[in-house]
Amino acid sequence: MSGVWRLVRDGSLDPVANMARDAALFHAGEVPTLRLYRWRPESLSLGCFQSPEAAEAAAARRAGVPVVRRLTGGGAIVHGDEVTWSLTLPPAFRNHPVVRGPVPESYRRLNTVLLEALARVGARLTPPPAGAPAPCRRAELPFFCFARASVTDLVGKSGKIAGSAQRRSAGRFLQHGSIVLRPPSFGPPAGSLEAELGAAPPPDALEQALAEAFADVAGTPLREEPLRPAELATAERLAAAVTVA
Amino acid sequence: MRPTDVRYQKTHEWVRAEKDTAVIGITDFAVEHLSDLVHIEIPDLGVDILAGEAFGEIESVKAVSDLIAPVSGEVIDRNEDLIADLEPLKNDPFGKGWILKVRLEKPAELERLLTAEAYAKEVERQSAEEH
Repeated sequence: MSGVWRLVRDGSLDPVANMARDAALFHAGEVPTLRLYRWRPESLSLGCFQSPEAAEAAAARRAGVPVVRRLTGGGAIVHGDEVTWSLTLPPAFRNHPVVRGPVPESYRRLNTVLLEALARVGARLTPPPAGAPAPCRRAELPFFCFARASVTDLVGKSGKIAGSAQRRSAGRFLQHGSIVLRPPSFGPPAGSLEAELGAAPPPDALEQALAEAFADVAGTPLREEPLRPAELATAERLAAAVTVA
Repeated sequence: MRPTDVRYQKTHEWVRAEKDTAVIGITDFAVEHLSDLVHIEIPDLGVDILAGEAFGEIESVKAVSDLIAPVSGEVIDRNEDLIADLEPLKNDPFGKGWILKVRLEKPAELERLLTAEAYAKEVERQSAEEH
């Protein structure tokens, strides 16, 4: 299936670098890439249509928490002790089995990968039970992503543990998501792998499990490589677009 | 049955030429694939959009998708009712769900677009690839 895909393990980066790299891969990436990364310092990311003037974002800035804008929609996320993944595909892969079809179906397929990875570190999560229909207006959605679990998320006994968001443009695909190791220091109460398992798995172990599960479930070998110089240059150029003044 | 008096593109936008005005929207197939639409961002009056380039964004509960311009031109009208309530996209994507009107600058751009018949085949092809 579709040859070797790339694995990028970026370790901990500042929030602008993290979102600018995902943006560069989405807009200009030439190979399918699974990117795994973390956040230092603890940061707040806003959905692309959320206002940086919102009270919660202003409070974060006052508390010294950096705020960044995502390319994807949905609610704000406090990125503390977590492992974040992003999958970006160039247009030639628009009909790859992992991502093709209606949006909810592509989530279900990618959740299969996440569930397998989480099982490998001992966590048994599920999508939440189908509840009330989704709201029809963004204003009806909570400010924080982790304040609400939809059928495309993964929950445990302690609450929502994995959430993600997707963007598509003329055949290009990005989905990125957070897997919470320990609850962040502010924001709504969130579930965590620490609460599920008694101790959070080491981030390296979870990243390894994600890479292996992705390769197994997607049937796609992954080759670990860093981002290319041209991709890093694109990320530099896009930094302003994700920066929240 | 989709209207035959509009042209379509593979990324699921449609355009209806009315003299030198082009009315632009997205198809029922796009609406169905995105599911649970919550928000749309479209350009202001006077902005020039360019065929093949993103002119706006539409957000569903779990995905943001770029809207790709089927033709070039200056925005001369926006469907403000749609910005307030996306329901018409579900019920009437080719009528009350129109998104923008632009002054058609290059009528020849319409010729590159798909007829209803060709678009139906394209949707069939894309659906087959999904299964």
